[in-house]
Amino acid sequence: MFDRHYCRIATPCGLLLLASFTLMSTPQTWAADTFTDTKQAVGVGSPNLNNDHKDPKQTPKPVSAKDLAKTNWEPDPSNILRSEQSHGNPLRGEPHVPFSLITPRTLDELHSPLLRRDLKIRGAQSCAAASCHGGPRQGVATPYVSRGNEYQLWFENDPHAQSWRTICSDESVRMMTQLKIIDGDRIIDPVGFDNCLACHNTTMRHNEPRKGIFTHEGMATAEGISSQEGVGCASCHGPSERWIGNHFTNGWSAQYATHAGFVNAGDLTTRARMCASCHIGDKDRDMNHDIIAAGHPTLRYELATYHSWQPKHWRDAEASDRTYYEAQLWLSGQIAATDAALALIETRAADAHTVSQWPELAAHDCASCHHQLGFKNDRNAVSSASKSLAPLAQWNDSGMRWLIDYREQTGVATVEDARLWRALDQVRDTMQAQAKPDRAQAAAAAKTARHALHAWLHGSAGSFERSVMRSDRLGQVVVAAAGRNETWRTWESAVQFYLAAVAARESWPGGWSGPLYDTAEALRQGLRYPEMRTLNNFETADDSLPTANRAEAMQLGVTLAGWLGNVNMELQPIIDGTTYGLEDQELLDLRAELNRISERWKKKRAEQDAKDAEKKTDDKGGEKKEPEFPDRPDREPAQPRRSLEDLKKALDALESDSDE
Amino acid sequence: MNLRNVLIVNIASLAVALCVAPIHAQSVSDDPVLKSWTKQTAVTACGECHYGGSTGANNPFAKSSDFCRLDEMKFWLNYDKHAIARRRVEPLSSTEVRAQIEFIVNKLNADATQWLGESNILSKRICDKLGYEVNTRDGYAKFRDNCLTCHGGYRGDVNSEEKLGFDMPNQLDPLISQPGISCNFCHQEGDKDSWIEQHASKRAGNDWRVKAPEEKSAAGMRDLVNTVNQASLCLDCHIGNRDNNQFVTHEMYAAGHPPLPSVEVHTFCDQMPNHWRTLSELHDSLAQSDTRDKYFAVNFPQLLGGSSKIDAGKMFWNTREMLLGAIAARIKVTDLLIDSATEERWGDYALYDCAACHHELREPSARQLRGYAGAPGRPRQHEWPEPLLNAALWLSGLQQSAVGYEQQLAQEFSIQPFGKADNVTSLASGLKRSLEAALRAAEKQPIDARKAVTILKLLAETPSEQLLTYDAARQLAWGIQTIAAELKSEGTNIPAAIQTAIDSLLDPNATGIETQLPSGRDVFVYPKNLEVDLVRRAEYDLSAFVLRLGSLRSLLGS
Repeated sequence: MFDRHYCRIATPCGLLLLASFTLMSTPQTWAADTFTDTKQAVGVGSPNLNNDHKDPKQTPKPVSAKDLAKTNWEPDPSNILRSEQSHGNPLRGEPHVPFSLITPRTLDELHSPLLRRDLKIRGAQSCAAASCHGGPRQGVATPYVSRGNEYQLWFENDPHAQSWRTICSDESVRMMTQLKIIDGDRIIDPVGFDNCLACHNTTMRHNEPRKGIFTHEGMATAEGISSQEGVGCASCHGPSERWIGNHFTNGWSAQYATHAGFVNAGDLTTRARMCASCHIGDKDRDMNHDIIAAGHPTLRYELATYHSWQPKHWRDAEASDRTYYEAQLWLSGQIAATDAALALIETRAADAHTVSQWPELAAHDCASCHHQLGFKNDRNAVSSASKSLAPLAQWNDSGMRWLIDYREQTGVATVEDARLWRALDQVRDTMQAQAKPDRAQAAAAAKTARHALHAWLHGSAGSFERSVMRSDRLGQVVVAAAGRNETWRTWESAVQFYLAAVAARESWPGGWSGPLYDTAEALRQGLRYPEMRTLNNFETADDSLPTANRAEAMQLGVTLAGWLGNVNMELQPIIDGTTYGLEDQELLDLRAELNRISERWKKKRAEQDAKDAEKKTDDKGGEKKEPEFPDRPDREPAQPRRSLEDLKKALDALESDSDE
Repeated sequence: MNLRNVLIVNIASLAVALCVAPIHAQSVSDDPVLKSWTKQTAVTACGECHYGGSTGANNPFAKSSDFCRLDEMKFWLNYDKHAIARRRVEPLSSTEVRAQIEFIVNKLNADATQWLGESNILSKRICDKLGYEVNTRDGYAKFRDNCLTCHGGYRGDVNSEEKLGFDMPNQLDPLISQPGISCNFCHQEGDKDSWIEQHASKRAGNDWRVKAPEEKSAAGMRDLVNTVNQASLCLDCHIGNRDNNQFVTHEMYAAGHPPLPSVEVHTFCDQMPNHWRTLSELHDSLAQSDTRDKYFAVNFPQLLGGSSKIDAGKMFWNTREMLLGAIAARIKVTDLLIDSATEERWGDYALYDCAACHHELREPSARQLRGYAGAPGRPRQHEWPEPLLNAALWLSGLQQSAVGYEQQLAQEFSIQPFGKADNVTSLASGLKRSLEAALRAAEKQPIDARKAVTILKLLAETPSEQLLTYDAARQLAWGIQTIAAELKSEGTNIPAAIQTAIDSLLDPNATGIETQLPSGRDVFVYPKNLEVDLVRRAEYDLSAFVLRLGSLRSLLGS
């Protein structure tokens, strides 16, 4: 049963008081039918390519209050994994591991604990002991060790902790009603409901496929209610069955604990891939076009942006190195987004999702279809090759393409870059070849691209970028991206460009509030959703300002990039004398801007040459001109680390104050 | 005598007639359209009788025009843009348009402003985007095969290609090629042309007028008195017919083809403007003729013959045309689904409702508020036929089977995006059979003033869920407009309050729904009208329309 009225007040403070409420329950037949009726256990390894759509007759029966009354809360373990294959080797003492959702030689290995079903899930309160992660509030925390108050920070500040309330909101109930997941207070589509819970809740799904079911023996208990915790610890850090008892010991290392079910979120790429699991999708969760049509916001994942919004309950060692931190976040986010999007295509095409459809419209660029029919169409130039089909979304792979392109331009590209680029092209071409792309080809192409991305990350290319990517390098990637017509083809790509430019803001001449700020802000305003009332939980957009068209966004983007480097852009006429829909005057304006940028960088180069010559000859004569180009910002001096002595002095002063 | 001989004989007399008649003389010198058509022998033969009536030397009905208006071609050539449908879309660059205008002005001393315009440049742009290199013979053949099947009346008649300029456009002299839809495109079936001589024969006792439609068809004359035949012919282009290669693909739309509007057959005919007498007008004009009853009886035997359920003079012919057209339109859309069930054709986005995808993403969303019968987010079929189809099926009394298939078909599109071709074909075939049965039943149903009012009430009760798209709402507006106008013309007194409510519903400033079509030879769809139309579509808000419909419903109910 789905009682949203309860949910709305189900804050942890009221948990015990409200323990008698039943929120959702496991149907009587869950253990026997879970995997035989749905495709949850099919996995990528056994694609069902002949089954084009779900048989509505196979929809699980509605679960009524009557069913709940009969529910046998003791599951039959022999049925749980009946149709799954055991991957564990008993001869080596390995535990039973069900059919794996993890594809070898892909980035699944980074967040693999989240895809495992053999490990016990524990609720967030298992971490919340005062001596562990439920310690004193911030402000009293010691700054140089683990905070010890992560639970409090998460619980009070982090929107993830409110995720269960989100799913119980009026909007969510409306969505689930539209999707025929619930009917009044009855859950009539447990599979669809689990697809929601996969991201919105950690510890309990309706047809719980994971081992965690053994710890939550019913919903009508205080313990059961705690399983509506939203996105709790285990959602990100992994099921803690095998590491909760030792992760605080000296010999334990997060880096080597993945096999035990720990997600090494301290590693930015792993963190990025972990976040993408929900913020893009994964093999057991799919925020598809049906759900969007029912009202769910589209997923727009970009790690550096998300990271800046996220109230953090952790500290990153890299954070103090500001020119490194955000650029690395951007890089990790792009790698993870590319992989997650490919994993979705692969799984959807293989019909391995419980809720997958084919073709899946959410894989495509939203605005390619969702626009009013305009008199002047700035969209793709139709050609005999394009067939005017919806293009594959650019949101998730634009950044990787820009990076590879930049690496090629600067002569550091390797064969791994070429393979990845070709593989991404293959996915795109397959997905855009027909209204209903060939499933087998799409799945194979996506899988190949995932392997290529894995090889890229662990090869010289990925290693190099993960070590050298800083804001100035990212700034140069942005400059190269500004010169590609492809960057300005869709709104998605243009927004990713803006976000990349912002992630490189440590390299902005004049600093964040320098000459780039106004341009960046104008671009941000121009690219926002038109007539959008509520952008997200944090911000409401002002819809009184006009949005930018393609030409305006391109002009602003080129201007922005022009402060970071010389933008080389070939304005080739495409059709009938126009260039990507640019009017004559717009083209002239763009050319003029490109010329200004070129002159600026010539001048700067000349000034730099002069300075270099000056240094070499040590000639101090002559009048020096103030350079027109703003200098790099003076970094705020890093806060000097207070020594132990300083701390002691401060403590003494505090104590003397209190004595007085 | 075959058609060619008839034409050759008649050309000379037509030339004389054109010189004699002052209107003709003026038209020839001023109007390149007429000048151009006179070079088409098939048409000049028709003009012998049908341009101006009494002027033709060989016109057997010169003084008896109670049956035939005899000025059909005057309307067709002077007011109807079908006559220059091809000329408007001949793919020309701006330079070529300029050259042709100069040519026409200099050589013909004629005004070419109705002939050429920005639509030609748009057409060239579309062809470029589609990869048709129209300046080559092969490229122009692609344009001909995919575009001129509707815009030029091209039927793949290889023997007449060169004569009609279908093999390659003459870039300089536009008068060589056929300018648009010819008479025979609509009025003749295939190559059989004996009807031409027969229908104009001066032989004593010629009873062509009252011959059975089957006999006329056997002689080659298409039976356009039959509303279903007429609707089907129009809808071949205005909806599509893949067998004839008359189909606007999504690729064409994306390249720039204006969206095909929804079709209400009576309104479209009325605003062409029609060059024929409507059945109601014909009944009046034949008042003194002793052939009237026989004519109507032979053409509508099941409706009027036998026990004669209704007198032809009391029949609401326009309302009937509107309703039969609604079923015919749904059949045509269904045919497209059936004919598209091949691998290379399936999933063309043009098979689905434009507004299902092409709408801005808004919050709140009208679609979400409406709810989804099946899964959300699946492209739907065209929604516009629904409001009028409901009333038409009610008239037939056979709605149950069709509605059942409609629901199954909708479910099929809900199970999987775009549906599965085999399942859709199977269901669409069943739906088509049901609709054809309903159409046959509806054809037999008399419609008098009382029933027209009932249908008006039925339309007013259309639920708002069916009016989410601009095209669906406009379709309903046209239906109401047709019935209201006919009630008025047939002498039924419409209470002032109801008339006011109808006027308000049809007021574009109040509802955003424009019921006037950009018809007329002097009106270009592109660019001005299209721009306005697209804005109307984009800004359509069903609440204003539904509010006024609710008022009308209340008044009709009371």
